[in-house]
Amino acid sequence: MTNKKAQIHILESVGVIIFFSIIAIFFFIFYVRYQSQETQNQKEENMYKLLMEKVKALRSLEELKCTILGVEGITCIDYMKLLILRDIINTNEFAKSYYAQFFGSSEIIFEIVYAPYPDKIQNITLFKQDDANYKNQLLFYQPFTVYDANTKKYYFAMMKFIYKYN
Amino acid sequence: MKTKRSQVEFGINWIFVIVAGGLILLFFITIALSQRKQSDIEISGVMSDAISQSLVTGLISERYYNEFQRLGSFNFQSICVNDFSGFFFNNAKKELNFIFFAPPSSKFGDAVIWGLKWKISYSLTNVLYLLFTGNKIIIVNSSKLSFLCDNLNVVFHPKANVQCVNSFDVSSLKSDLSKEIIDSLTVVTDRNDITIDNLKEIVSTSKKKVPVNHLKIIKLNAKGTDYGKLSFISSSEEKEFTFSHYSEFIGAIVSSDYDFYECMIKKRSKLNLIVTKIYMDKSLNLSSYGSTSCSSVYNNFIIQFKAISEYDISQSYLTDLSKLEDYVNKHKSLENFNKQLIWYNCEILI
Repeated sequence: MTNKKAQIHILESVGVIIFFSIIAIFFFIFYVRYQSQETQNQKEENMYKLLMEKVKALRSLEELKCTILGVEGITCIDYMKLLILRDIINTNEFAKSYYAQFFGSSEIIFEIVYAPYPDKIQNITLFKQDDANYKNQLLFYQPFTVYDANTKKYYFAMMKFIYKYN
Repeated sequence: MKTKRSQVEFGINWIFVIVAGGLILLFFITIALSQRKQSDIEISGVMSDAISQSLVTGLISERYYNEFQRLGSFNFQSICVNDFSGFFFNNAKKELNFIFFAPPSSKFGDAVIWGLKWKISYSLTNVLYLLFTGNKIIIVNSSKLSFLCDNLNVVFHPKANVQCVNSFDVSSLKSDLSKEIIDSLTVVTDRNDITIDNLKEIVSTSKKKVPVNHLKIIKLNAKGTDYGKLSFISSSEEKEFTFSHYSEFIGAIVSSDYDFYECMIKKRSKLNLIVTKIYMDKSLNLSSYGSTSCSSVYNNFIIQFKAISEYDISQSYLTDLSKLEDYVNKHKSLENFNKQLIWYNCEILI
């Protein structure tokens, strides 16, 4: 009789351990999943902030800004400067690494969507650097006025900024 | 017999309760600690993001001011080496690939951020500055340094801990600083008689002990703050370098560190090489389209751009004063060419 009572007591204890273990495991799984989701959300938010920084940095480049009678516009791109900078980045190793530090793994395309001359409607890829291992990408568009000093005309372009990350 | 068995059982139950309770407690403590660690990392990340975003905003707007109040205790460290420039805020690392100046390290105070345009003839970039209110700067006013004192709230953030004094009186400065908590002291002067020992004396009664390697003198060895030579004087060494624009002189004061300054100026010189190449190619392009008078001005531009590029390739003007003067004059001559373009009704270049 006493043996049976003791056995029941032991079973009770084992039951309590199993019950608490299950609760602990359940809580732990929930916590880990919640944390990983939070980390993922945080990462996306940080990447978006980073992208915005890069777009701002691009807008600040004196290498691209228009200068019309001493007036500098931050949403006006000089067409000639754009083509020259593209060529410099493609041919000069220092320039390539300098802008790679600035823009990271990204692709920056100026899509000229309006120009009085049809041959000027084109896509100009200013910068392209691929990260072979990238899994995600963020996309951002910004309108720009493009001034061509040769024709003395303004074009309208959309800047497409594709930022790639793991 | 029965009593003895129940006593043993009672004891085992207690051990079980203590062990199980201990494990549960340990589990929650681990979670709490990991949460706290996570939150510290997040706060550092958020703060470093906010500082870097604020600096980047400064790139696109002239006369930009921003501040971060009550950062609490933190570890800030700015770094500039060949392939990396940026800062660490606590453990969060942030890469900044533009021209900025900040003290090498700081531990407390409000942070202030501002920007000034680097422009001799054409604009190169906005130079950005980050300073903490714990970094005290004293400018000893003189005819050469009057530009800084007359425009103190323009060339520095109005809330930066910068003070202009007309006479360098150690005892009165000592008395002033005894009421302040500072992390570093930089004295800007063109005088030869101010020494690190004077600075040691000034901070000897300040509320917090200032390490000797945080005491610096920036000595102006030029006719004014436009361009020229300057010296970084610390307790262990004195090193000389040049500045080609007043925004660089402010950079020297803010960083108060020879190695950081040298690294940033070399980076600025490389950036100038790219920008000059762009203007040179644009001049070439425009010279083939415009009238003869326009073309001749564009050709003059090309000659000067080539000379400026050669200086930026060799970087010899960064240590040689006569070459620096020539470099600045060549830059300034570009403005005259631009005026000629306006006169001939040609497309302006810079």
